Amino acid sequence: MLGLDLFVIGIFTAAVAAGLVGSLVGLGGGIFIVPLLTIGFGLDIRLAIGTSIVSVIATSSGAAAAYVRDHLTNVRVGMLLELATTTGAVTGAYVAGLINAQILFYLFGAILLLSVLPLARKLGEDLPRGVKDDAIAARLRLASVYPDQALGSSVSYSVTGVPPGMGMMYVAGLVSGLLGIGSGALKVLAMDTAMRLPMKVSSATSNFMIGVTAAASAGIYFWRGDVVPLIAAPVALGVLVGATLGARLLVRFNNTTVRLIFLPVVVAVSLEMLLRGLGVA
Amino acid sequence: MSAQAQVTEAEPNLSGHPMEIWISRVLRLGVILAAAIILLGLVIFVVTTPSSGPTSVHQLLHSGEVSVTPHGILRGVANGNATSLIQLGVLALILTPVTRVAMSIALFSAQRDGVFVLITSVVLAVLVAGLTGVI
Repeated sequence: MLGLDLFVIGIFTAAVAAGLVGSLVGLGGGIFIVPLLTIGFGLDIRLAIGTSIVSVIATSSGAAAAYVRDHLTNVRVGMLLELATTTGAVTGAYVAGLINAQILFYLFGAILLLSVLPLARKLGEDLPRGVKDDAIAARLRLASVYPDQALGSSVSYSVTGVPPGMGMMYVAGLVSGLLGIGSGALKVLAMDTAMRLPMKVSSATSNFMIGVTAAASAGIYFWRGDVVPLIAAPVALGVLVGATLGARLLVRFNNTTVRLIFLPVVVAVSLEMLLRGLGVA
Repeated sequence: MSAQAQVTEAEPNLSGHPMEIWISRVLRLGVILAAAIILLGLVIFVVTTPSSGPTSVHQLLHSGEVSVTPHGILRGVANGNATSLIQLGVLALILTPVTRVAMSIALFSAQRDGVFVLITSVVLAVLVAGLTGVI
């Protein structure tokens, strides 16, 4: 067997693990790909990002389908916000080709560390109260209803804060295109705090948008040659397998317990990335 | 906690709408198809002994042999080149959400929602711009 064959199999296995841990922690399967490929396999960070963004498309698209079926996704809000995320993503991908690799390491570590914060505490209210449509939401008829299984009834909700929401979405897209991650945490944050959407709607709509945002930047990485096929293939497939496994396992285990176990891992990884960025490691 | 639990006549937001579900199915099928092509390419690589192409990790990263032009990729696929096949699968994967956006334009058009046809078209334009290397 060629050394290259072993390399491919090794990356596949590692990607399965990365996808598994990522989905268990709730950060998505792709968050560990860039650290894995750079720290673990010593690859150039731009190649790692190109590979990662491709795998993000794969993992998010599967989940998105389920959320739409469950009537949780607000497609109109998602589409509107995608104006901001896609332009952000394209900007990010373009800029990533220009700036120093060390800066990318540093940014990645910082973002990863920041993503931990919403997990460590319960994010926002489940059912925001006293929310009224803002002007744009009213004009575009963004308000809607969703079925809340826990409550056993349909809950109507309004949408507000569209301009700040769009601004945060641009940043989320920028981060996604720059670092090769899904930015789901940032998207949920924007919809939850700025636009006051119910938690379940925010999560579902975020998932709905991640694939499109990733596709916006993936094309740029691809034609720039930053997606090496023999690396992207095992990673994309591995993360798909790992994330699927993780989703199944998550149903059985308590959310909080799982996160308590893996959060230190996330923190350790982000610190390592930060150190690389600072030129220390 | 009192929820505003009422069945309203809020404008249907398309979630669960038959055509939107159909679009989601296309999304899922697209990922499966793309993954299958990628898997095929990978299997071909591992199983066959290539007469050309990289034989070590170092060569993989530094040979500069990977063709990144549409023409090169199609030619490679026709030759049964594992790498080109994988690239085709990756492209199919990237095109899956793009297809979903395009179909949403048709959906909004059927709903006679001019504003959202415009919004979705702009999103599609941004996606295509990134894909065709305009940027």
